[in-house]
Amino acid sequence: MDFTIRAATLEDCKDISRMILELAEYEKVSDQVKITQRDLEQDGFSKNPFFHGIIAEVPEHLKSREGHTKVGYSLYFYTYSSWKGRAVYMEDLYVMPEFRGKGIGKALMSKVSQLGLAAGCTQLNFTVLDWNKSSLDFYLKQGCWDVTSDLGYHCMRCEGDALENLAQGDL
Amino acid sequence: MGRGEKGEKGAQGVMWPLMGPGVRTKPLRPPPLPLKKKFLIKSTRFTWVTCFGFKTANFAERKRDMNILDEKGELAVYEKMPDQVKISHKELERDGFGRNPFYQCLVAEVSEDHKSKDGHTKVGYSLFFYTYSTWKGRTVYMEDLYVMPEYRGKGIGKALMATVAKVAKEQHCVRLQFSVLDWNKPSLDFYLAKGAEDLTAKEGWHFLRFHGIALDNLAREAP
Repeated sequence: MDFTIRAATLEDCKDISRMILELAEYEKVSDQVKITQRDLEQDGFSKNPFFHGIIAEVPEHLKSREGHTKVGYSLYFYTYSSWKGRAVYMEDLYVMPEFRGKGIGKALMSKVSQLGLAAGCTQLNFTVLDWNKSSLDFYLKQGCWDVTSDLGYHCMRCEGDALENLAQGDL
Repeated sequence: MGRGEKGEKGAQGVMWPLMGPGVRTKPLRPPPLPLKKKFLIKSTRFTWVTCFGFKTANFAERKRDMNILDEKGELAVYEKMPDQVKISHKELERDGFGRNPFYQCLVAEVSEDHKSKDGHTKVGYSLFFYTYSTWKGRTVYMEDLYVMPEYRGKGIGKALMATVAKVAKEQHCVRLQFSVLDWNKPSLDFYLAKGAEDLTAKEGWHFLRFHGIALDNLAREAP
């Protein structure tokens, strides 16, 4: 299939927002999405962005049933391993269902890893839900490593009241 | 894209950003600490240093605070992976104290008369950076939290974590995330008692990673 991978721009936030919601529906948690297109614009395209994005785009004649030409995206940011140094974290990787199986997801992920290597990163990290067998298989087939299964690292989170209490030193 | 930051011109003249976000924060005042009457350490003085605080510090001070690298060695030993620490003082310095830092670091310091058996006054640290949730927005990831064994149980770990949370709130972050090894029961209990959720146990999230040859091979296929 004919597609291009390019850096996301401010104008892409509308489509990124749309696809974030589609991804959340796929992960069965669409009620959890709280950020808006405006948040994305502010947090991703300011002088000190919290994330970077890349978009997969198809030509007009291959657009989706609803008329979209932006058919996939990946959001990533730079992180740090205090053992290995610079790393890149892929927060989202999404391709619209009707465009899957055509190498777009792989191309997006490859681009993130290429950019990461160019920035001096030695790791590309991300998370997957354990029931998401098709994604897990896709990633493991590319040669990645399940750090949770192999080493026992668990993802932990503080938010809401727990974060508030923690910040106040009220433990 | 690419506004304000160094980037690399790729095909189509698009700027691909190369460097990390490096959100600026002001150096914080330390939180008030209770006096520990039961212990030999009567009061503990903390100094909180952010990356950008080092802008005005002299080079010698930067070098001195790089003993967090030695503390990382201790943390790696605790997590049973001492052979995994590959980065040097030089990389830590470049990546944390340059114009576009990849991380921020807090150091817990005691006064000279309470220094450790080996003569250290820097007895704990936390290393963190800003991340993003496409569902909830700005978040902070706490990469490391460590207190030397002889200084544990005195509120230093809690104070470090509380300050990271405070910084997170000041930057309008809605989450603080980190990881813990599943066999590390004292740490797991500590965090769960503070209201943290174990997302791996609760929702099935797994960390996956590309590195080494697998990462090179993946990058080679980029369009």
